[in-house]
Amino acid sequence: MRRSRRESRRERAALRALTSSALALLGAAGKASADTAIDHYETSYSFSTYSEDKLESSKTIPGGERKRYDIQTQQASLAAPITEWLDMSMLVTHETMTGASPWYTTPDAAGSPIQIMSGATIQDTRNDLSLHGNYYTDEGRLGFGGGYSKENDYTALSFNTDGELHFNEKNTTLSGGLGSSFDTIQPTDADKYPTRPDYKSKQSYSGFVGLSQVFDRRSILEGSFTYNYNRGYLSDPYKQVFQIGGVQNYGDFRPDSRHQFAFLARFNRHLEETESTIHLSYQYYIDTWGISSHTGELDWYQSFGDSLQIAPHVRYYSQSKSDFYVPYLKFGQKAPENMSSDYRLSAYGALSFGVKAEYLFHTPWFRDIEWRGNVSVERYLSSGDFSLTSVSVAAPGLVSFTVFSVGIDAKF
Amino acid sequence: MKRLTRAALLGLCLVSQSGCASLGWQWDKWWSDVKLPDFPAFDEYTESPKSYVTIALEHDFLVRVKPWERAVLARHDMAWDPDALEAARRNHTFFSKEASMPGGSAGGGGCGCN
Repeated sequence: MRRSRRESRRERAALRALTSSALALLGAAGKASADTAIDHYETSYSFSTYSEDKLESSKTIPGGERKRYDIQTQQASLAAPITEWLDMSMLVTHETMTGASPWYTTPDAAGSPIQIMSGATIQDTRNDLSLHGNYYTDEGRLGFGGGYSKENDYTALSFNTDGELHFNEKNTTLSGGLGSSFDTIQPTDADKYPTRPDYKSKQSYSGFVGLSQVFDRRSILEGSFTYNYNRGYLSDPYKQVFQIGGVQNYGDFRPDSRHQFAFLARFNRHLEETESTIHLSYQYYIDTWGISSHTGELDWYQSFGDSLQIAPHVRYYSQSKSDFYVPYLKFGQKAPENMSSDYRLSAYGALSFGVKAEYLFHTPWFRDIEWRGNVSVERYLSSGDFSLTSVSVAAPGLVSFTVFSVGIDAKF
Repeated sequence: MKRLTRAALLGLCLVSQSGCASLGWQWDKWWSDVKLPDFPAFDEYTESPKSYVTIALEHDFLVRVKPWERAVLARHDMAWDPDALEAARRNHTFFSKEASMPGGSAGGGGCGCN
């Protein structure tokens, strides 16, 4: 008997479903889901431009510098299997930065602060190399890594170790790690500006513990706690504090130690009905400088067929001000021990949103490479109005920026 | 506790009942197979050769999926950070433009970010 067209279509669909789930299983076995060493090489390259919005003319003196920072970033990474239970990865970053940055704030005629930008155009480059190796066992993973970052005026050398232990047939994972960083700063033009030191150093030590749990075939939850201790020169040598009627500006003076605590919860769920994956995360942060913050993020990965994926995301951030943030000192006010006019220590909120498009394709005729090309754009806006706490006078230097990025990834 | 959680979720769903139903999501069913934890007896901590961590974390009710049910969990977009380069870049940007630090990992080096 001749089968109806609908019947044969249904059969084909069933066969397709079966093959794709079998393929998915194979994929699952060979996936770098952090419980076995990777079984393939993977290399990625990405180029991105970061550009900050011009300062609004009402937020600086007439004719003052309004242009801000531009950064061009190139990143390249390589991950390689060494043996069945060992893999290595490296990431190289090269950045060129140009522009002006906020220097100090003065009051305008009405007394609200306006931003004075650094006079000279800053030209800087940053090169960063980081390496990481993983050793795998049936019960978990142990990783070691290090990094070196160099700017014209800044050097950072860092080390870290992290690990994972699996329980409940790899449904529950306990993770943890320790890190340290040894940084030195040699501010440019230290001879021209008396508030800039010649050479200073700082160290940071951090640790984290996390616990992740698989909920069902489609969702996973993780909670983690991160602690970081900084000590040494934590001030910003390129910032100053203005005093009304003062002879000259003060430097930026911050405490020489800082304890930071972050509580992060993340949840991923795949919705098979709509072929989409949602990532939800929330972080509460608090430190000993009086700053606390909330960060919430939602990423939505929407697949269209097997190749195309469009992923919009939105992120909200709000922080309170540090104990020693001052826009400027009043006339005759005694200078406090710690003070900074840095907008990053003021109270504000930030909203960022963006979208990323990713295209996956294979080239079976050329080394059977699996390629992933992506383009993305992200817009970041910060303002006193977005803050969860009430902000009487927002810092005039609050930044808004746009990031464009293109990247390619090859697995072979 | 289970009831409370369910009630809270049901309440949430009621607010946008039509929204949930039209998408075919039944949020309240996510938890229908959650069994109450079977915590180990006190002796188990003192008389077992297992470590305290293992005893505290190993429970049958936490074995949610079997290895052959991991196809979805192994998806590229189910990783915490599907794009490592993007995650590194964004973390660095937020770290240098905000007062907080990104959690969930042992941090790398600082920067002289202006």
